[in-house]
Amino acid sequence: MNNHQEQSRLFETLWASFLEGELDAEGSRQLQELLENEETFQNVAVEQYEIHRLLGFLMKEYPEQSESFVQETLQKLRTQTNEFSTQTMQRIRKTVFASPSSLPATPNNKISEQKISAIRRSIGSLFVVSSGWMTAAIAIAVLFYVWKSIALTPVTPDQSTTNNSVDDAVSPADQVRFTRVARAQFFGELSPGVDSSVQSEKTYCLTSGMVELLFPRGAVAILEGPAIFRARDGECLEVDTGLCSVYAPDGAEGFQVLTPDANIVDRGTRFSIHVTDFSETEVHVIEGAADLYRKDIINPDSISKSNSPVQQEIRLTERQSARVQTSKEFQSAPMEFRADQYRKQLPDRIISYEASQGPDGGVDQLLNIRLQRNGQEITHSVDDLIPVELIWFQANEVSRDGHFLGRETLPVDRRELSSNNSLASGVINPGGSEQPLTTTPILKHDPANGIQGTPGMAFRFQKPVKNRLGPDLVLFEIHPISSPTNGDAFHISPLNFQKGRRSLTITNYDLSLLSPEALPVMHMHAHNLLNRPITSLDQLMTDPAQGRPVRLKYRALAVAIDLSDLGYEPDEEADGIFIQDAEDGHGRIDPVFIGGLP
Amino acid sequence: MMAENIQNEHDIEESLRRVRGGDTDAYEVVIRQLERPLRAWIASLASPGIDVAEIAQQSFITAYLRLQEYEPGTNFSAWLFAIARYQLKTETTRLRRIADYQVRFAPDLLSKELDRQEKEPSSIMATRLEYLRLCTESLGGSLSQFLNWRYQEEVSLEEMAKRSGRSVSAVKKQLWILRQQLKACIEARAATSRSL
Repeated sequence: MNNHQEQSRLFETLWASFLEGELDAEGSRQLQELLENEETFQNVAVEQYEIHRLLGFLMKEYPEQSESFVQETLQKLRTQTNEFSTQTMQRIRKTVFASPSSLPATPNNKISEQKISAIRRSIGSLFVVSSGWMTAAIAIAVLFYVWKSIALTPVTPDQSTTNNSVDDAVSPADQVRFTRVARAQFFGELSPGVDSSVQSEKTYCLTSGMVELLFPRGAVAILEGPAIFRARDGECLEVDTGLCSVYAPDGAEGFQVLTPDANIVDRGTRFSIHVTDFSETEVHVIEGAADLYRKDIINPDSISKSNSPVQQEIRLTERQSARVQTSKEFQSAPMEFRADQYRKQLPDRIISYEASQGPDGGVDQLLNIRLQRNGQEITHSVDDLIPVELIWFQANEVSRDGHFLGRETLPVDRRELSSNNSLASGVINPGGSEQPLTTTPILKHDPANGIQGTPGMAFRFQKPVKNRLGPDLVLFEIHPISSPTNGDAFHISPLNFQKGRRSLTITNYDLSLLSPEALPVMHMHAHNLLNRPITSLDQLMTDPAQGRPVRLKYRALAVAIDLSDLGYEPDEEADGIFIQDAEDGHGRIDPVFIGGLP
Repeated sequence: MMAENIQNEHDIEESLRRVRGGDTDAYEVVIRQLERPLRAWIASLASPGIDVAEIAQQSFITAYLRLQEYEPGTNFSAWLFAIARYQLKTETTRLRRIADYQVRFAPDLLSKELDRQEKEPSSIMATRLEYLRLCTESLGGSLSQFLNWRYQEEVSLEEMAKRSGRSVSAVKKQLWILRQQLKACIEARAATSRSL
């Protein structure tokens, strides 16, 4: 053995001892010497150290650790920012709010201009006396105060009546409301709740999904994402891009839609408008009439058509369409009429649900579901729904998050977790496949005879579910708020592939993490099984389980599914369904409630 | 993995936008998205004796308080990791100053490594962790047992030697080889991923 080999062996021994915390003083001296003289040893030492530490991190990791870290960090954050703001606020109060008359009392939690100016002055003076890190900290603290003043301070009746601000009157645009929402996702903000106000002049960026807006005089507009729009004055909607369908009933005539190049004025009609990415405006009138004007005409009714040297107005009547583009002159071109561009209503979906509250305020037992089925909005009590029974389960690999959610103790028959009405219990983390099934799943695992079961889980309805118009079953899954907002993707398949039946992949839920209607779930316990994959329902039912509290926050997402999408004929009955995780690299599906619609 | 990273970045930017808009609670989403890779990265380069959680928490708080310095859309996680690197470097230097000269080699070594690694985007660390997890799962039963004893149950080397019927130095050697194999496995997975 040469000298280098000897040194390498010595280095390995010493560094391994160091990693184990067993290095004595003489070993430390030798190690330091070796590291100083040999760069290769330094590299190996860093590599070994990194893996050693990552193994320590990875193998001692458990979900509660993350939750505990997050909560501790947030607590420290609050404490530290409070320390900054306490001192700063004392100064601000002295300099800005010394006089009671300067206290703001505007409605809608809006901060007064007077206060903003005072705060700006205060910030300015603070910047003069501060520098570097403290400047940043104080500026942030002041901004916190501004934010809190705007967003957090509740408005009491007293406050709202002590000021005669012009803001007292609610503007017409503030009376515009989001009346319906379907899988809507907005850039940079949560989806609006049903019946929430549309903020006046605010630009909304609808990245996907649809919303329905109701204007004060009865006009209804449905916008489909991607779309950018804003409500102007209660009788006017401005669309920068996207597809919009308008219905103006009697009394709503004169409702306007502004696009980059044109004003469209309703004359009692149904029409659709498509503003393309190139700012062209396409208008298709379904019934009634609509007038198109140049964008710079403020008041269309004041136009004197006879004095107009160029075309300034185009009237479209039923089943007519036009494409409008303004360059130097207002130009329009006929185009193929497309009735299918007009959307009469939002698609069928789960609108909302109600559930009982657990001890911590999170939801527990599902009570009812409100959904749109074949265009009709209906509410079903959970007792009306057809329950399911778990008849098959197989996982591809060991689940570190366990396969059961529920109370501290598992029920004797673990299948109950899937059959009960609780949104805080279920059999979770089934196996899956990137590709959906194209053949009947195998609900048996007998390797000795060469039979490998299909990864996933199968449910049988307590009585067959009939394929009616619109959705036929509902599925709820719980999803941590720290995960991607769309929910866990999954495949749903018939139990028996025949007569053109097929699988359907669900990647979006009707109620996602961005929906205010997806409610937080009560505290749960997860139960881990032995450190081996679950290959059959029997094994799932009998393997020893160990429970632990779940500390992450979850919400219950929901989606309605139409059996027609699985290839069932109208009025054909389904005995059950098969579910597989879509193996998309995100979390596995955690179904907590499945029910057939009556 | 790439799509997930993009989605995560998108979620983070959206949350930061909300924080700036006054929804201070939205910062929780940022912490949840990045805490795991950040803690793992700090753990992999922190000298013994450094409180990893403390450094990670202070990094999030500093990033929050200096949020006006962050330019939206320029990769918040990389910016956060740069802050963490500075915090870790400061703490490593402090430890080195108070350490006996004979045991300064560890902070010296890791300090040098911190200088070398200008920044470690969260996506890379998250990927490395995932590769490590997959690599550990691909180990055979007896090798996997060694890792479980050492890193999960934290049993002593003597106890591991007793359980496996080997000498303590043989156990040390086995752990050394295992770490080498895992390192090679991670690199192989990374290389395969890059070539796809």
